[in-house]
Amino acid sequence: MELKDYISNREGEEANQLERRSMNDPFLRDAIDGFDSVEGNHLSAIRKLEEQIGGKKEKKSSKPGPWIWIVVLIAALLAASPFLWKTIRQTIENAGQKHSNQNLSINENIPVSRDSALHADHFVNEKSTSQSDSLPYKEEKSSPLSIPEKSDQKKAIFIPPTLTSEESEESNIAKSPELQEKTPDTTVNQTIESKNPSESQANKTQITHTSSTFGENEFISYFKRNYDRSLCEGQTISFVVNFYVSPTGHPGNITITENNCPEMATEIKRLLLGSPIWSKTNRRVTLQINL
Amino acid sequence: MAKVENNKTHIQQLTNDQLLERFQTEDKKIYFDELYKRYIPLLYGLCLKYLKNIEEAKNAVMEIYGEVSTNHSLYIIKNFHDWLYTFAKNHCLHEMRKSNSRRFVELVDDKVNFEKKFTLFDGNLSSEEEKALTVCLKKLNENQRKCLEYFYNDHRSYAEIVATTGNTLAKVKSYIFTGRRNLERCIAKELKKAEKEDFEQQ
Repeated sequence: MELKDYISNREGEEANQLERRSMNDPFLRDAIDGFDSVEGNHLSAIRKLEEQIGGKKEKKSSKPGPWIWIVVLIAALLAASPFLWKTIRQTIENAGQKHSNQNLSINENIPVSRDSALHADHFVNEKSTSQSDSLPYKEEKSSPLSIPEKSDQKKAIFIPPTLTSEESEESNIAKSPELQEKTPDTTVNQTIESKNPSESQANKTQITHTSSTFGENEFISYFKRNYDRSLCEGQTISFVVNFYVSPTGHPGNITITENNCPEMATEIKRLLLGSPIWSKTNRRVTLQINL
Repeated sequence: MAKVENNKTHIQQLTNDQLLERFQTEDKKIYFDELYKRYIPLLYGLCLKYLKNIEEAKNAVMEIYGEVSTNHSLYIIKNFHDWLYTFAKNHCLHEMRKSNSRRFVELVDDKVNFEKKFTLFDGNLSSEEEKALTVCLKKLNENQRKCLEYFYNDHRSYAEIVATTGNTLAKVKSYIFTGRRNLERCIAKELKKAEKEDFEQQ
């Protein structure tokens, strides 16, 4: 008697023979125990499994026409297009952000538009470069940071990234304890050198922060304020993320080593990439966050 | 088309060992597929025992198929039956650990003489063994004795013994397994006793 027959007919001498065989065969014994312990249509399940194994063979032998590949390709492109568009947009925004970090005039105050919610908080003090013509951001009128060509403001205004669309810019400014008008001789935390060695010393830009430091604790608070709460709602979220803080204070090389909410992975990366500039740079950081 | 059918029939006529050998030497998946298909009921049942879920068991069977068919060269397989049992069991235990689920798996005392074939009821016993068997059967617990007799003497299946005795399937299996163990130990003792007595008489 075969095991498949035994599943549907457990009576008779043949069934007894199979059971006696199982006394000396742990594989058969465990299999019989399995069929005894779980109810269900096991024969149908076995049939489907056999078809899958057999089906794998058949699929390989049939050769689809070339037109099927064209259809598949078009469908894949259509399916991936929103994601691709988002990736391209993010790349452009990040490139614009980096570009503005390196080449911004130190004399100009650049208010960050509400739309750039994911971008780090960058602004400059009022020291200007003599070579204002070389400032590339002037040419980039369509920069996502919406930097005006000229600014008459002499003082830097720190505007934190907007959290929701409901918050108005004014309320943002009103709520943020960090927001204050700055004078030129307030904190100067970083000096970013221009990548182009041919540029003169005067082209060195300086970015100042009104907040004293931004590190692990600040990021955790930032994350907790800004993450999308609809993800894994009602569930305790816990993850460990590992990343490198570049010399310019930007997180990169992000690796999520533990995460009990897979949907949160993109959110973690989004907030890391959009976080303010980190104070301690050029180091590897491992963070565990429990929500 | 006829050629394909002939090949299929030819492969189906090969034994498990022949299929494994051809797969290992010729590296043609068609041999492994046929061999694996023959083991699907065993694998599926084994995975059901540990994973306690039909869908998970089906997934495990396919995962094992994928792993073995692609990485077979990494393994030295002498006895495919025993090897596949160990591989599949480890896979299921790994899945259980991954899901952090605590499932109770009935442990059968595998150290009970399962390697040796149980021949006490085959009728090929010496006079001393028959004597010892009679004595030890009387010493057994009534449930164990009845189940052993139904199973070995009357050739009834587990389901039939359940219907006759009114015990659950788990209890019937337990009575048969422990009854066997107790009987074998008792008979071994009785035979040693008889040997000692014979020696002393001499």
